[in-house]
Amino acid sequence: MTAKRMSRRGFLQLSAAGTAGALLSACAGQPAAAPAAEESGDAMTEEAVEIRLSHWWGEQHNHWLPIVEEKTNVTVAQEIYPWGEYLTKVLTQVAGGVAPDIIQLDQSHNADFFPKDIFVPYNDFLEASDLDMSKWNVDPALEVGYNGDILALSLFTMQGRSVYLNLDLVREAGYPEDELPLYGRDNFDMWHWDDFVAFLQAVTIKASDGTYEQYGYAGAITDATSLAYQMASYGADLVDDPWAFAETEALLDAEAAISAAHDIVDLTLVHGVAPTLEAQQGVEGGLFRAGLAAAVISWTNQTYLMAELPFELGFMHMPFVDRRVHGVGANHWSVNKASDLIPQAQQAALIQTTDYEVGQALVDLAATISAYDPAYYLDTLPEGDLGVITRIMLSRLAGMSDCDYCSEDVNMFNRAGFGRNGRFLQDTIRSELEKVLIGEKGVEQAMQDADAAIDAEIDRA
Amino acid sequence: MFWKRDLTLQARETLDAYIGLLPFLLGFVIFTAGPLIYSFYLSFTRYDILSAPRWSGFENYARMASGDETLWQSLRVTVIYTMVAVPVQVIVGYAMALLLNLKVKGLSFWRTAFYMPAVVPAMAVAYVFSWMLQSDVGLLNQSLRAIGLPGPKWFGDPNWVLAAFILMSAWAVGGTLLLYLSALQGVPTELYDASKVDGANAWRRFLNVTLPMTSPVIFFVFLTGMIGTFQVFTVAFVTTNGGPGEASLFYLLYLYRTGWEYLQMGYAAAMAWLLFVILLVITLLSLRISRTTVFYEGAQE
Repeated sequence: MTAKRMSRRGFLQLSAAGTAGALLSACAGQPAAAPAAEESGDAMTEEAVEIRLSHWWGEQHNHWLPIVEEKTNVTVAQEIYPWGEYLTKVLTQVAGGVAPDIIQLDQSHNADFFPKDIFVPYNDFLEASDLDMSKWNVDPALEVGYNGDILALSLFTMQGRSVYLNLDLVREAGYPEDELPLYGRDNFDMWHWDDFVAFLQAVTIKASDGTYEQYGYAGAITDATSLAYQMASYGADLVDDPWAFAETEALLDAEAAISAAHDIVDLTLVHGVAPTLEAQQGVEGGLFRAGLAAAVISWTNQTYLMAELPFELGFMHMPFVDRRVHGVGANHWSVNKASDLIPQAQQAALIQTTDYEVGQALVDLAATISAYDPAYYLDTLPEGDLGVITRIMLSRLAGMSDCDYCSEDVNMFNRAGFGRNGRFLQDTIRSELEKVLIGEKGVEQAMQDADAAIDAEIDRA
Repeated sequence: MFWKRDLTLQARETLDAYIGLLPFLLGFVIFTAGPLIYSFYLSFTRYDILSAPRWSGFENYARMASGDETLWQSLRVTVIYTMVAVPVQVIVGYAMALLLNLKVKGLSFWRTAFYMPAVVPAMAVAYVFSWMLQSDVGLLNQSLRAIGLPGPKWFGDPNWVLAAFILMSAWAVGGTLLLYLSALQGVPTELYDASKVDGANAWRRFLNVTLPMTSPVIFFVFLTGMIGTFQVFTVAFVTTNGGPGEASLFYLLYLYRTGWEYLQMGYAAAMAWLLFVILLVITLLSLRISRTTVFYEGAQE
């Protein structure tokens, strides 16, 4: 028997046809997901099914997803993307009809997705469950809702902002350490913004030639989130409707906005306690991590800030102007309307966000407190730095700490209440505040220009 | 193959050619031509990715022409950068190639060393330069201070930030080396011999032989360099994100923001088409000018 040999031309033709076929099949949509084992919303499905979850939390979910899987008979396939490209990825997945069953979102993503009828409202599902809705840290219809629909379930109680201190630099500057309003002291959460500025001035050290040996504060502040926090401390918001994506104007030309902008840029321009834009450029990890600045404001639970630092840390609450503030709106899970496994996805989201065993796993890993019934976990918080900063964060929430005055008249504002044109607003604010820092504009002019640009964008949209 | 038996030889040849071309044709239609045509359609719509595109006529183009100061700022930044960076790239690259075309000791080492920056990823370049050009502790400013010169604020100064980017682009100029070297080595030696016999010195030989004979490559580097500088994105995104203020807001960075941050894909598509038209006009003008300035061996007078 003689083997029939393929000609070179035949081989090339076959290769080309094969490549073309592969190309075409790659362009085809993905096969439909396996049908749900059960169409009802029962807690346990008859057969194990696999649902897809997208998020940016790295490996953290591995610590509690086994609990979710065990309690729901659902296996969760994670699709993990870096934060920087997460939004782009999810947007294209949704547009292409291939988005996962559960999509994890940050509060700043809500304006992009919520008004677009992409997610299944949880309202009926929650009503059918026996969940005590009063135990949510914040009413979900407000925090993660749109037009009365609850479109997500929050994963944790929103962290406030607090001040991280390099106690070594504080001592080096000769500042009396016992005057710091650290957690547990009588003056805890008593500092106003002016006290903070005075402290920063005291711990800033300059050489005789005017160069900085150490900065009081770690960076030139130009971001919209910092401005929003400072404005909230004056009782003001960035836009006229920071919750329902129905804003009609920006409020950046208001007195509170201008005062808030002054507060943050004056750290560099007037008080000389924070670096200029160019001085902070290119410093790996920022001036605080580099041990060149005594203080930095950050989200409360920032484990990366604490990892392997060669100096002693201290923590205090965010100083305030008129009112103490607490930003609301964390990360949450939404169920994709196009999913074939909606009941299973809802059930998994419910267990993830409200189950006490899962909540305890969050506490054990990173001292993160569940958004559902946070008081339940108070006694289980760890000691040490992580436990301290979580207690600081909780202190402005009623009934969460021994500090009674801390939770009085707190402005609970939407920490990502940037409106429908949120990223335009953020870029505009950053750009205008940078222009102030480089001396191109005054604060008033910059804020008026930002206000006008954002108003025009709101009108156009 | 049995189904080809009834075809004529020419038809079979044609069919074979198309089968061979099929992967490219499909790739081109699906991944290049299709999106290109679709983006042209999108430029006449409002499209936020999550909702269907809505026809808006010439709204996006009218907005570009009248109401978007940031667009013109980004165009201004990009044109200034291009006007300086491209000549620097062309001249420095050519000068470097001339040096590396000499028969010196360790030639392979030098060629490798000068080409190496071209293979370093843009992200890494951006990070390294953001440290090197740091105003206080950066390598360059420290060196300048050591010789008594005040260092500029580079990325923190709107007047210097583009200079910093031009410096970065000049560092990676070795990417043009291969083209220049191959052109230089393709110049017939008999032309040099003849000009020597005619008494031409080194400078005249460079002006009258080397430069004209390598002018097609110089023109190619100029043209592709210009198209490249109009599309600067990564280094600006990583280093300054358009700042300080909008002093380094390159066109593509603004286009990216408009599309992927502000979710105005229709407007971003219109911006992309404006960029295409600008590059097309410049390219056509350059080609026209090149008729009198570029020498193509064997071309008809």
